[in-house]
Amino acid sequence: MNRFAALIDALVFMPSRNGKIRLLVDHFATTPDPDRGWALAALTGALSFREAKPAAIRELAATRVDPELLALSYDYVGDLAETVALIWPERPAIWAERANSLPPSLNEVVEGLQAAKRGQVMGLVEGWLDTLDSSGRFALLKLITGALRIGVSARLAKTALAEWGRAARPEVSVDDVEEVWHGLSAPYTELFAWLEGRLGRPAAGSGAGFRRRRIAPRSTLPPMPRNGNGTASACRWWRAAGSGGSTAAPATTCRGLSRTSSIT
Amino acid sequence: MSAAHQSNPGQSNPGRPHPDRWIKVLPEGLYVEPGGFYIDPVRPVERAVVTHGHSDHARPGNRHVLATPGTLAIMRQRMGAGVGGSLQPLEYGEGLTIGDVRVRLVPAGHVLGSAQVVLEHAGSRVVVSGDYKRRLDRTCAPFEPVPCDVFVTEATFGLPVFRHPPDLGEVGKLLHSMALFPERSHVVGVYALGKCQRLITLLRAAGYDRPIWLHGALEPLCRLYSDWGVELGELRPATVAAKEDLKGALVLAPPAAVADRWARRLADPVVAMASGWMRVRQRARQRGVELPLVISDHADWDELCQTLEDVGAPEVWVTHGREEALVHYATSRGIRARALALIGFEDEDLEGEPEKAGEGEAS
Repeated sequence: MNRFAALIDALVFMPSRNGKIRLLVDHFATTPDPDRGWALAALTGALSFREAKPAAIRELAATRVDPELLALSYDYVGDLAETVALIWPERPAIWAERANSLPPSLNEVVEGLQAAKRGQVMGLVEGWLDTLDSSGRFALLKLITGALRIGVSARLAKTALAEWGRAARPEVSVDDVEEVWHGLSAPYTELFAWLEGRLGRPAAGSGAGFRRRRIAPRSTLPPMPRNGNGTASACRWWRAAGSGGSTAAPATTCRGLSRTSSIT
Repeated sequence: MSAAHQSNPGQSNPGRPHPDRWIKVLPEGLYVEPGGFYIDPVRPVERAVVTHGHSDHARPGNRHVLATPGTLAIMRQRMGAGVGGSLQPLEYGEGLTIGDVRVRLVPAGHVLGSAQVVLEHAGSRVVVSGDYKRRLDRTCAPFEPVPCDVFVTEATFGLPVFRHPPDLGEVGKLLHSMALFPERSHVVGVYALGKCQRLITLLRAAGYDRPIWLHGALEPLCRLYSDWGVELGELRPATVAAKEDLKGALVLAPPAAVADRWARRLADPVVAMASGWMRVRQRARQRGVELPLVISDHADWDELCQTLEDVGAPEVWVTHGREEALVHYATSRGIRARALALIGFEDEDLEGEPEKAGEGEAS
């Protein structure tokens, strides 16, 4: 949990996109499976725990601190995970009592939450909050309340993953990661093994994944012209089709299409 | 516990008028009627007692000013000729009678010269804390709790989410980052009065002995602190330095300058900020701070609560900050508490104010 907490903290404060990618690459390179896979799942929004919800966490915090002070603090800070992480009373005695119980690893937390029965979850969370420091509490609560809101999109995490993978597999791009993504599930051990060059490319999944769509079946339109760098130019394609007299595409459609295709 | 404390002060005893009969909140500030003076007035008045030199507490243009010698030196330095009429120094612990009020100044541990004002009148004792903190600060005398009947406290960090971690740990974060990125400049946003000098003494205590580079706005007060015997080590002006010299250097600047054109002279700077507000991540993040350092000259939540215990006052008035939470806490401990709602006092976070931006002021 400490490594994950350090990553979350570093990402929160890193203003630059390239800096965030560097932090993620470093995390993937230095953290063992399955923790790095769970971290990736958390960053891409692939983790959800049914029982641990914000309302339950708020109730839990209200058992430790005055509810009025909690409400005022939440009002000021504006983020429940951060409020509870900061306000949770640290009891130094707990460190002595639990000297032989280290803070949980990310894997323990995820597996614990997944295996817990109804009614056990908040007890687990309470125990962990007592052993973690403020950064660890923040990371734990962010993890279980879902949306991290730390300025890293799923796409950025995958971009960093591809960047890291290029050390062993120079041909990998972020689109390759997207392509195999939907055939996999957390903690993505096959994906990491592939990117480290230890295993072959995972299967692309059953087709539920995202694919670029064609506007119309290729057979009914003239072939798509290519730019100098080999990419397709949708805009010129439409113009070419229009000048041929078969379809007259208005200029707005042309602009709209060009913008759409550049986003993917 | 004071003698006054042994019997409950209040309206029931006609011989001892309740302090809210003789201390009033007026538009100019907190007015002590039997002495005819204001404490930290926000508008020019005839007689002012000033707790410390930050510009929301010490304002120019008062006819007579009473403060500690340190505070008066800071006021002269910052305001020049506009400081006011006569300036009267009063050393810590010395008593003075103004009108019907016995006045004494006691260290508050906030910045150089900062004082609590102890007021005694008609058998009651009231302590006005000004701003204060409880932890070690090598640049000023430590806070002394004075038992009293009414304690008038600040509450800048009056929420239990504000718990300042140990100072040396925060300085360690800065030194670690400097070791990690030796090719980058580290620029730390600090308030010109107090925080700047305190951070320097903390760095020196942690063993950092290289020169520290200063923004021009920080230099005069650092000189003043040195003259008052605070060891700051070697300081150099950053404003005229060559970019090459600032590689890997530590630069201190007012909070407004670190995000400004001024910082472009630095080599790929790591932006840090030393403030109690840095405790809240999203607040630090919004300001583009890469390295937040939770170092504050104000009491955190635990210190505020501890101070209420230490002074043992049956009644507390909260002047500025997040009053609600502290009033709620005090009430739950059986202390009568209310917010005074004084205007004109600011958060520690003043960089938004244009007229103070260059100065990097703090309360």
